[in-house]
Amino acid sequence: MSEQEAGLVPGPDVKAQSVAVQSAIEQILEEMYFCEADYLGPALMDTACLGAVLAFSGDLSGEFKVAVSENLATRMATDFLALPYECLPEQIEAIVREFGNIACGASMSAWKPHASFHYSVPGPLSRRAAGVAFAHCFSVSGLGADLAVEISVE
Amino acid sequence: MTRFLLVDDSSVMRHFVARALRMTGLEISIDEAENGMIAIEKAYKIKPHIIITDLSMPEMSGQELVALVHAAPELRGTRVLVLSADRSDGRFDEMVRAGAVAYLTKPASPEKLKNSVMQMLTEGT
Repeated sequence: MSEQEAGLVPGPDVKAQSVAVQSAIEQILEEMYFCEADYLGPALMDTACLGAVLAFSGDLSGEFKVAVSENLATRMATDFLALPYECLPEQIEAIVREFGNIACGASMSAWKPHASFHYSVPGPLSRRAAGVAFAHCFSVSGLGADLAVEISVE
Repeated sequence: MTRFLLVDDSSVMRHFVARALRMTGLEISIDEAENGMIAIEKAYKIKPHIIITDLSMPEMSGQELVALVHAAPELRGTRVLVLSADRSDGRFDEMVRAGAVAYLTKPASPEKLKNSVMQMLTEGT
């Protein structure tokens, strides 16, 4: 059995998923949240987070999860809404859900460009479910992982 | 006065789109709806020039809304821009067949949104 077959080295589909998620998230952050991120790969989100989860079905079925540190979520909400006052907690949660919605569509289509999917309306991810290890982590602040994505295929 | 109707179940997304529309410098009015059902009722009342709609929404989807607007003689002057995170293969063609004039995928910067709307207005005159 090769190292790849044993799961010790990422297979081509895992690498393709990483490339897809990385390019999708970087584009979203730049175009709609006006910030940049460094891709860290798999890491632990060990800070207080907000999260969103969507179900997808079609050529593949599964779940798409995002987690964003509370500090980054506040910054993203402020930049996204361009409000002259501090964002309300419900606005920050809505921004994270919308980020999950956009990240899911962009990542899945970049990963499987010829596939067809249907997506659920994004719902909140519990704080406990957000504070775990994720396959794709990013650092926007430069101080460790503060944004993460996980794709689970059934 | 150019009338817009923004349809999205996410209030923060409607806020983002409204901000982009204000960047056009045009004299505009903006109405909002959180799903296709509310949107079609408002559309009959205000006769918007442009509807900007998401696809995935509760109650009535954007796709159903596009088809209803396209089929309504009273809304002949209304053009629909679909703004969705869904980039699935064939979705663009599906929406154009249903009657949408343009399909813009998220992420869409305010600048990109503004340019799409300006193009629709130019083509519609």
